[in-house]
Amino acid sequence: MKTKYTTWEVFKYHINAIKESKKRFIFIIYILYAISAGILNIVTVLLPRYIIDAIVVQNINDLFLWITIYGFSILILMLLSSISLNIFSGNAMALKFLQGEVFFKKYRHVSYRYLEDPTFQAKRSTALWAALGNNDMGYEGTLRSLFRLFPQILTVIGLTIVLGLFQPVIVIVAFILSLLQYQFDLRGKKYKFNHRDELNESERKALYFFRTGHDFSYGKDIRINQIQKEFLNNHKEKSNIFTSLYKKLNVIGFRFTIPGLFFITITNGLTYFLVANSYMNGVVSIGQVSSIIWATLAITLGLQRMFTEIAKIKEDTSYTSEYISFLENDEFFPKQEGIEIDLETINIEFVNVSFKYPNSDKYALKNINLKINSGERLALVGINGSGKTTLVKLLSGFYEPTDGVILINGFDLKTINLGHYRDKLAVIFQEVLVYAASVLENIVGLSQDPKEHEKAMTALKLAGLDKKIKSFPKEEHQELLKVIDPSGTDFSGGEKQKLSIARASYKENTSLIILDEPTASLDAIAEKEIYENFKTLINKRTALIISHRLASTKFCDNIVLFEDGVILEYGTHESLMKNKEGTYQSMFLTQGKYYQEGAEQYEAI
Amino acid sequence: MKQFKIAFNIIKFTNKLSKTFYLAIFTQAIIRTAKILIGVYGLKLIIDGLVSNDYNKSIQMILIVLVSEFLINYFEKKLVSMIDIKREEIKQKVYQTINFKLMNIDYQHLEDPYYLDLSERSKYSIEQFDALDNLFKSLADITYYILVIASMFAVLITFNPLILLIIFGTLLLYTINSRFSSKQQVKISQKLGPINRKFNYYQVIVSDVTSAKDFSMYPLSDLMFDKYSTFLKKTTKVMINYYLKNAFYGSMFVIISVIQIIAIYSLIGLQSITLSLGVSIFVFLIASATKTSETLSSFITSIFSFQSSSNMLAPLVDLMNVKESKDLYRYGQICNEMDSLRFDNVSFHYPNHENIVLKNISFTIKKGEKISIVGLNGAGKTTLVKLICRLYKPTSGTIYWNEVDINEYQYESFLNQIAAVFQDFKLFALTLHENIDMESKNREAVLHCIKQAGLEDKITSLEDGIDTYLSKEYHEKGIEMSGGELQKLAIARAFYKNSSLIILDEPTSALDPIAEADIYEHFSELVANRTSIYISHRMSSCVFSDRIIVLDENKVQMIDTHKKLMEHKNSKYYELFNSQAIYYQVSTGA
Repeated sequence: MKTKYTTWEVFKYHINAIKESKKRFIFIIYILYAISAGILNIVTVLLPRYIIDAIVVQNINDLFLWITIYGFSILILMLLSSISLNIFSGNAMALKFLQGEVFFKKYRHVSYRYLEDPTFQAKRSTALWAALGNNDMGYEGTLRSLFRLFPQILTVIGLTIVLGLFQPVIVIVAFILSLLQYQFDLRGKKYKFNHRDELNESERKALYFFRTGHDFSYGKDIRINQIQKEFLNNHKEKSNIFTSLYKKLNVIGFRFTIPGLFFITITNGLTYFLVANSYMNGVVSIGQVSSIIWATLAITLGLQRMFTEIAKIKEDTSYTSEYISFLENDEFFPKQEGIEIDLETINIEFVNVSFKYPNSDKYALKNINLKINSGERLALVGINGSGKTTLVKLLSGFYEPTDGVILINGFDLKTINLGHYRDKLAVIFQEVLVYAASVLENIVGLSQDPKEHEKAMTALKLAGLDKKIKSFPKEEHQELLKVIDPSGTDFSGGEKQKLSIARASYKENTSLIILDEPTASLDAIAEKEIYENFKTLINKRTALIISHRLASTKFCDNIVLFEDGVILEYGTHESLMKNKEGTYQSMFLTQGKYYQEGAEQYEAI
Repeated sequence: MKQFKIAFNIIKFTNKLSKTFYLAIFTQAIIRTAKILIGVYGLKLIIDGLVSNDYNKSIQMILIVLVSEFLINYFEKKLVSMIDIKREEIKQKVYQTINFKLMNIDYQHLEDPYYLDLSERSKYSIEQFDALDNLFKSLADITYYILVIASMFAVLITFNPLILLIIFGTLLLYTINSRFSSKQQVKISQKLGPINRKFNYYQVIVSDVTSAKDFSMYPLSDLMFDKYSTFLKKTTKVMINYYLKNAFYGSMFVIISVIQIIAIYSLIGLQSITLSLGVSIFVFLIASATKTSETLSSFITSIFSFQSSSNMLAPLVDLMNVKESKDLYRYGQICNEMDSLRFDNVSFHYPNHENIVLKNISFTIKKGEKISIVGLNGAGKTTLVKLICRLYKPTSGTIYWNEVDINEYQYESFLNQIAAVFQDFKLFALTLHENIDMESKNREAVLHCIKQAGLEDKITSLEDGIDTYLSKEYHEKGIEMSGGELQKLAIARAFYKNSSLIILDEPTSALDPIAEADIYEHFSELVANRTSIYISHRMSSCVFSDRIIVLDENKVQMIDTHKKLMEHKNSKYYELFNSQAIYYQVSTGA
């Protein structure tokens, strides 16, 4: 596991990727372009000289001979370079896309405990950006820069040889000054780089206001609270911070380009004087004079471009290096190991389990001892932040306990193959995501099996979504979300929750089901329907139910009450209600109080 | 031409934002033209000097060329840097202006898919495609190319108009070829237009925390991978094919331009020999002709880029032209504290929708009353709130505030009388303080409201107190708050506004039972003598209300006290209440 890869190692990664993509012809395209574009540059500088000399000596035959040679050679070279450039452009993009697949494939095995870690998140976005971002940055940027670099190298070498024969001084001066300029460019870049974060940060802040203003879901709050002017003032202030920093950096950046102006003037001046001298001394012809001047300009330009590309490649490969080290990090993407145990029924035991989130000093769970027998229904209750959802995360294998063990059928969860275990687990999470796919696919995934299809339909019916689905013209094949298919449907919060219930119910061969706030955004009637279907949904599975609505505890064999990460009370509804000092009893009464009033009213009638 | 109209609109608009920007662009074009002229003419000067065999004259010429090259390069770089800064400033100002506009257009536009799409596309073209930048650049380029072409034409016409004939002849071929290739480009950009959006979707999905949980449990990751993979393969194929076609058109370009080069060389070379024009003229004319033809083809390219960025900016111009809400400019009477709020036969359907959402609604709310509105999802409760807040106007009927049509009041003074926590309330990623009071003026009052909403403990536990940022979207030190805490913050924001009517739509859905009961029980205390309207799925909240409005099938079914309503055993209210109460009722025995 390396954290830093050198430029050469990154190149090797690219070469391997090209080999694996079965696009080896790309190597030939590189060579073809380098040769054709490189020679083209040389030819356009050198050949016109003969045409000029033919004019000087007034030889019409020579004139047409050289024009024909010149025309024919540039035709061939331009055709070759144009075609190879086009073939390359499409394939460079294809290579980037293939990297996207590599990333996606790998990311499916990401270890959950890193997902909520901000430093991991930062690494992930850099990696993603490096691999899949801008066309001419990072991964694809290196491919493209190398492509452009090779012909420049060839041009510079070719012209240097030719020009060096005439005037070695010019070549040497041009080289030294280009190197000097490169140093200044590097400094300028470094200066910008050092202030990059500051600049991005201030731009991001200004952009936040821009984005929020364009997010119409803020429209109601902005209007009812009448904060238009204050919002604008805030926006202006942040924009001004950004633009004044931008201005400052730009002005300083400009100063770094000034030496370059002198360097070009020196190189050109030297060339003009030397060539003029040689001509006056009768060493070179007028045709050669123009050739030498053109060649000097071409070398200076070629060197400039070469160094620009080299600097860019350095930058691009350092991003790609971060991408590679991210992907190769075994901690982020652990191998699926562990034993496969019999999970037809599931018994759970928490033995002295304590847990702290990474980067946190506070215990989210402390000394939890809890036994859940196969087929038992257990309700987890407690106020927000008391540790219920954390327990679910531990039990799903997303995090490992800081202390203690979780035993599944007597085996430590750490040693069990998580993939196999999760196959036997159905969880309805608090936040429900629907995916841009059909309703059916959102439940069964890729399966084309008609039996699975039928199972999914039964699950949708149980979740109370069947009527809604019948109302679509394409029924269960209706696409969800508008992002991929503009005719897709957006589900309401309640419908999403029902979809997630259907997902869990479809996964019928599971032995453990966990429901985290399954009815939060449903109205009274829909909530009641779901409660009525609970028995069918849970069936014989071991079940954990988390809910604010204490009414749901009625379906449970036992209730655990959490407070500040510890188990405060445990028992059946009846036994907990008998404890007149107990928190559960008081919570239940608080919540039910006003219903009591109503119910008594109703009984009185 | 549609594109010119768009560009004209944007130029007019941005010219107001910065007086000197376009002047700078024009100056830059002149400098760049001068640079070209020096490049073309300089070599002629040097060769003239050499051919004259006068050493001093040669040195003189060389010095003239060098000095002018240096100065022009300097000014060019200076202007580039200046324009770069100005462009960024203008962009920021455009963002501000558009934003302010969006905050002041009629609310109903915000729920109209047409405007939603407009705003999305406008944002997208600016953020993803840098369309504003590209438009400015292509405008600068076009000005420059026109100047270059004009001066080159002047030169070529005096020497030999035949050269122009060759250039135009090949230009014609160019244009025909461009037409075909640009058709390809348009086709491809239409195909690839939505790709970025889709690509972003998959990128978010693959690295999202919530979907990672789903992927670990359900067969969804294979599905998403498959979709993503198919999407990529399709895109790749389209791109490779596009470039292959492009290679064909590119080759045509090459052939045309080589023919042109041969023709020009032959013509000028022949004339140089037969008319004894001299080498320097030959070099000069060749350079001019090459530059002219180069510039012409760049000119065509920049016209295309001008057109595409203009087209991209069409949504931005459309947004700029949306009229701000008429309400803002109406000087009605000043609205006073509420004595009564009366719905008189109000019906409503959303613009562009047939479905009636509210039908003949009539009721009166008196000062100080605590009102609950109940009904199933989709019964029209939230719409009712929107009408009261003047976010929409009733399709028919009138809403009276103190017996005056609410639309008669001056907009700002009316909204000052109403505070509302919407079901889908939004908070900014700014500080807690700014969320409650954007101007960050009255610290004491803000703290008081936070206490009232039951957030005091949370705030004191924070290092930066109410100056803590909400979420990391804006500030890296920001904190994430739970759904319940956010709800409390939104409630605090509503309290802060010292209004005579307060509306809470589903204010406790994310709260735990204790917090929920807390809000219920202190609610009358909290709202003090303000009038309040309360919408909740938790039927128990109704018990606190003075009266309850039952909405069903878009109509007011009943308005009465909880006791009275429970007397009707067949009513919707009875059904709703008992569907929840039944679970708690059993415990009376316990």
